[in-house]
Amino acid sequence: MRFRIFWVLLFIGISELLNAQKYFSKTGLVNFTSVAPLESIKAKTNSIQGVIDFDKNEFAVAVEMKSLHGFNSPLQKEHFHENYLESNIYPRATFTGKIIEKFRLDLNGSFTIRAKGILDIHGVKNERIIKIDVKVLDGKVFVKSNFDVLLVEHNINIPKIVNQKIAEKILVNVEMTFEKQ
Amino acid sequence: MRKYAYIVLFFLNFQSSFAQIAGFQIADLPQSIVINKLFEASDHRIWIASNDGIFIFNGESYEKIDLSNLPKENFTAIFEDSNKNIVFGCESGNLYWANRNNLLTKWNPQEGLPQKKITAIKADKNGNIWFSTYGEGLYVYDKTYIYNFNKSDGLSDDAIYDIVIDDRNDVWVTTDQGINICSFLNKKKNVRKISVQNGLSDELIKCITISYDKKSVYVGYQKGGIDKIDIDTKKISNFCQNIDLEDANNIFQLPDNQLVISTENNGIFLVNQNKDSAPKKIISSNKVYSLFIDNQSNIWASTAEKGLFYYNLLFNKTEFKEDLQIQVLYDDLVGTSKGLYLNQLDKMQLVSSPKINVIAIVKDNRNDHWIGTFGQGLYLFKNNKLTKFNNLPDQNILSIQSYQNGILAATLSGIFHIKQTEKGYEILDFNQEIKLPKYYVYKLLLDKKGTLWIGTDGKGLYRYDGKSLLNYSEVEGEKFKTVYSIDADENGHIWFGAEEVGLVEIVDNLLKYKNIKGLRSFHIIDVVCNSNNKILIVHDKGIEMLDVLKNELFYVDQFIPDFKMDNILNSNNYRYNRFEIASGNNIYCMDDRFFSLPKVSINKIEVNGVGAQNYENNEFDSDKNNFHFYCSSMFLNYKVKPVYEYFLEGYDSKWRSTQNNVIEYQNLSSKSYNFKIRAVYGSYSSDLVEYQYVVKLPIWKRWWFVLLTIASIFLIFYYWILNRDIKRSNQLRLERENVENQLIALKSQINPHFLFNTFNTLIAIIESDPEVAVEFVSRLSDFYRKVMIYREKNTIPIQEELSLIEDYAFLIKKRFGDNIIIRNQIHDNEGFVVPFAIQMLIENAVKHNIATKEHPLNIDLQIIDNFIYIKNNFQPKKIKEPSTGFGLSFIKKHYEFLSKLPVDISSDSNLFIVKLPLLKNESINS
Repeated sequence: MRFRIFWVLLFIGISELLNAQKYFSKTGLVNFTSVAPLESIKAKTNSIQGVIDFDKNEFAVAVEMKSLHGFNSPLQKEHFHENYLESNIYPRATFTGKIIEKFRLDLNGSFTIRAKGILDIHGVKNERIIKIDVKVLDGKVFVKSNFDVLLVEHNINIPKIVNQKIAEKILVNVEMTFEKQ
Repeated sequence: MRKYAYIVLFFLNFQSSFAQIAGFQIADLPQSIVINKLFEASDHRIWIASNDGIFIFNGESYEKIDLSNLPKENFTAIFEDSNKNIVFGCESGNLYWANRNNLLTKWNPQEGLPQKKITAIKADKNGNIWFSTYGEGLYVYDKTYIYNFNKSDGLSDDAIYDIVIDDRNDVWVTTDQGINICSFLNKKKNVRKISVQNGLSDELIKCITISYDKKSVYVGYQKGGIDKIDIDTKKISNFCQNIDLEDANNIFQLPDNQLVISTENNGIFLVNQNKDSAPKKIISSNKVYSLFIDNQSNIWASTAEKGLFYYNLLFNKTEFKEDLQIQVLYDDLVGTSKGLYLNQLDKMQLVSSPKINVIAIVKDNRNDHWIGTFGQGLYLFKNNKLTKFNNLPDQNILSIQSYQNGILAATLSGIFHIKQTEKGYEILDFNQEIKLPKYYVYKLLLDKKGTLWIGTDGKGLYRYDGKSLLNYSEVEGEKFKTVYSIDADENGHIWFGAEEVGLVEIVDNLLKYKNIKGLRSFHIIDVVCNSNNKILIVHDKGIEMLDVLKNELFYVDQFIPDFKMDNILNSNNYRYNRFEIASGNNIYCMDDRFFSLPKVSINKIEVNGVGAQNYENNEFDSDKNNFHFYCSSMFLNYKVKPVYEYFLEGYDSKWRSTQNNVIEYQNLSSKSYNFKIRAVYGSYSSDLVEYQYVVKLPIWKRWWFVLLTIASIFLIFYYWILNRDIKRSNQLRLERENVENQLIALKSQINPHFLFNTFNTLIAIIESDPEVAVEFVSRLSDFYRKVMIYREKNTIPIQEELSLIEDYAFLIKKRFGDNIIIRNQIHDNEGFVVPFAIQMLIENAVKHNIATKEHPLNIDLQIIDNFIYIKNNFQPKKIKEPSTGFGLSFIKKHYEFLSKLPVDISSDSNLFIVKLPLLKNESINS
């Protein structure tokens, strides 16, 4: 897993790791939920990587789409990866950008920040603002966020025949822990 | 001739005094609050956002919005979205939405809210809502997500002061680093910059407004001054540079194209389009919090010194400090009882001796002004020089009018025609020329066609068309006598007033007495027409403006602040879109462009005491039938209270009126209604506002319910009828079958075979055994008698049937002897049978079976479990007897009606059994 960090760094264009206020993700979980009239589908993965540069207020997060599991059946999973997400062509979903608020990491506490960045899913890049709950505890940064993704905005076309089974809006729930390198 | 020429001696400046118009103080708002923004909603009520909450002004009073359930906020921005919900921005960055009942809810988008002060909120044509912050740049909400524009997107600065949105959906953003023009199309952000390099006077811009024609924007600079930027070409033109306007924080354009601009610490100014004129300070203040122009062109301002107040620029008063009487206004000249003044750029300059009493001014065809005085004769004002005109026989002038190459001067001793010739001026007696008797003439008017109109004292109105003189009073039989004023409108119609008949219009030389509802007096002193179908009427009770097209009067004097009805003469004026009225030492100007209609609206509808949420859904349940309409009316200075005229179509039979702005209807029955309301000020009214709604029928009165009920009643009735018919037809069938049965029984009993056999038997025994023969005949007769009795009946007791069978058995026994053995095991059973049923079955058995000595026919009758069993040994005849075939089937049918139990017929190779149910009840005999 560790080796994947290299491209995460590419997103923010930083070559040096050591001297900056950079925090890397240690653990992470992302849930995708689709609640449609006829069916609810859940998928999740731990293959989420991220880095935050608190000097520049920049961040990058990436999810391995192929690692998404769950779903209601193996067939459904295959269908998602092949037809909708096209995980072979677009193996990663990423969110990179800047945090709007300035905040301190040397004090323990909880607060809310907003990240303004580019959400890249299925190869379609859209700008989004995402609200994130942050908790700092003894040098560890716990982040939690809920947001939604409109499939049509990412050019993921659901055939009419299954649109009662797959929601237009996918709910995303992310939890990550960051620590200084 | 120029002997008495006056040189301009005095340069007395009379500062025209705008600031003397009293602003209207908002007494019931605490003066200490800081009002950050004012906003007029679509219902024209004014929303006030302050550091002490939110207020609404409804034209009469202030309402403070109840925010007790919210944390304390400093409200800094207001806007109304397309659903008529008001949106508020706060210093904290929070945004709130108010519903129709003024209940505020904090907006909680998934993106989170800004953490910096919201400085402005606006909506574009696509319904996207834009809000600017002081520190986080610009946000746009496309009804799905919120997007942000900041420095990283090309914005010059993240601290935004103000935004406006032009007709092309571009958002103009003002910052400390110039202007940005932002757009958001298909999620694509576009940011352009306008800075000093492009020609802006400065970078620091706090305020921006869009012009009335929507073709340009005006921006006000921190360092003072205003630029105008063309929206299409982005061409910047320097509008005004003035240090007085330093730290401009609000800018608006007025309907007369003037700009009103407030500064942080130096009060509020009016800026004329004319480059040369300096900004005119209208309000002094060391701290202006906010500025706003409402739909009625009121200038609202909030300052630290005065709190909230407003000005109305419809009326502009110029006050002379001198104690004098202004008597005539003509072009830039002001004729007073103490000399002639020149009014240029709102500066008054005395241009004559203060001793002349100017009463009439006119311009001749060479653009020289003639000044008529009362007692001091006639003057000529040419090239800013006043010259006395001598030789006029009478120095007391009442009226003058330019005429041909000169003027007409009406004096106490008649009208003189001063004609300019090559030699100089020639004075002619005009009365003699046109054969007009010598009356006092108060008004001379030459219309565009060259017709001269003469208003006289005592003889009414004369018309002179160059050839002949016509007196309208004579034509009309002396209906009116004195005419003080005459004017011609754009269409060439002549208007005048006379005490006896009020206002009169002359069209094609015909008089039309105008019937004007609400005209307060017929004693008309002056009539002034403007180019916009409005006529100013001055009479002894006040001043009215008549809207000729609507035939509606507006009581002007009631709306002029501090108006004094002070000896107004018939020499008022209309120029530069303004009616000018001279009264005492004041000149009141009424600027047409600031005039707008009263605006009435229904702000809130309460149903059964609860505010309706959604006015578009205008159907109410039948029990929701108590309505309160909360109305407001906005008009000019709000000092005059309206009368609300209202009518509920579907309920009221005539219009009603009230001064209360809450109108109540109780217990409305179920139907459609249309509530109509207008606000009336004097005789001037707002447009009608309507609200259509329906009180729905209670469920039991709705058509589908009624239909369903009728249908079910019908169905029930139908089934009842159907059932009755079935019963009746069953009855009929029973009767019919009964008859058929009787017929069959009868047939069988008088069957020729039976008779033949019986008689043969009789012949056989009659000689050998006459005693038996007698019994035989008597049994036969018994049998037939019983047949006659029972055939009428549906059922008979079983014992009677058995006695019948006894007779019958006797008869066949005599014929067959021991070949037929009938064993009756039924004895004292009770119950009923269909008459002849058993007899017919026995007869059938005899008819179809062999009965010989070797093979006797055994017939058994018995009752088991309420069934009558008729059994015989089955030995059918080789040759079948002719059979009616009805017997069995008719018995079966007959029993079907009488019993639920079936008639059962079974046979095997040995036995033939018929099972008849034993009937419990005697059936009603037909």
